[in-house]
Amino acid sequence: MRRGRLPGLVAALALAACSGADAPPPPSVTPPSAGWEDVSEMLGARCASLDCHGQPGRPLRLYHRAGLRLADVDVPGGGATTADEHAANLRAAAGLEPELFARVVGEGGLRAERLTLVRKALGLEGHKGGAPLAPGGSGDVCLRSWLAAATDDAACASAAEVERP
Amino acid sequence: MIPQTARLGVAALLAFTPACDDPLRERAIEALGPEVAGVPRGPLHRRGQPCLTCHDGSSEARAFSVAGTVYVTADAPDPAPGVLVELIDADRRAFRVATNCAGNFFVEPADFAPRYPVFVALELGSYRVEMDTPVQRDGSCASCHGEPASRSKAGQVYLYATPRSFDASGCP
Repeated sequence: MRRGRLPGLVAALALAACSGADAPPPPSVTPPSAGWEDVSEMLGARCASLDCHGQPGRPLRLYHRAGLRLADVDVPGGGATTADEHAANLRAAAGLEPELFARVVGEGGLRAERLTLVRKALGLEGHKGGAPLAPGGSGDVCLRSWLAAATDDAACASAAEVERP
Repeated sequence: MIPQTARLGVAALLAFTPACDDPLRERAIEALGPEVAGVPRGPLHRRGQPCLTCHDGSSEARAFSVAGTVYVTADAPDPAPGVLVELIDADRRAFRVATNCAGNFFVEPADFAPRYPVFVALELGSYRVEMDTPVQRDGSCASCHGEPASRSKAGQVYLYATPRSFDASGCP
């Protein structure tokens, strides 16, 4: 083997190792930001309490007006969820499984259950918090509609209201 | 085949080796500090601390499913005795427990082991205040509530938003 080919071969192997030989490269998709604040409020109300996803160390760490705050000057219950908090929530949601997320969004939200975010929220997978979104309910509709880039604002607003028993 | 003497040796070693502790739990307990002078271990001790750090069923401390401390107002250290704490779980089962003279309340799993989320309300006479958000998984109020309030800590659990007279005459 000529020495000159080695770097190219190594690079090709490294690329193959990173991308996976069988899977096509994920589409280049940015998370749908339209309607996200409604989704973020809904997830915040149902998932972001300080004893759950409102903990800084959680993989899906969510900020919310009633839970964990992003800025040091803010406290739980002390004002509306800020734009920076919504943006951080978007990065957390999309960054959980970035390649798969891009694929689901790129395919118009089809088979959203591929995402751990959806499976856990619906209780389709082990989740200490149970099923904060009922399958087929307004929270489920809200989340799926956002993944399909057609956020159902009314469903999100409805699901953001957590009723006392 | 393991010789009889070796088996006896292993058995003796296991018998005299202390049980493995959870280092994270031990560290969390250490961080709580010592008992307050003059307050013995018991129902009145360690008000405002996350009760289930110790009372989690993994030690000699009585196991609690839910426990915490209620204060009269948001920004004063006066405990609120005689307050009814209402807990309603995901199965719509309700349980009520009263605070003692330290403002502490505690629920044992045999009496009520809620399925989360749990909605909380406080009552004193005809006055009632409801917690805005449900508890999702942690039975210690102080895991989320405590002073000073910060971006990751709601302030202490309180009955009244504004100062008002409170009758604690039944307490020492």
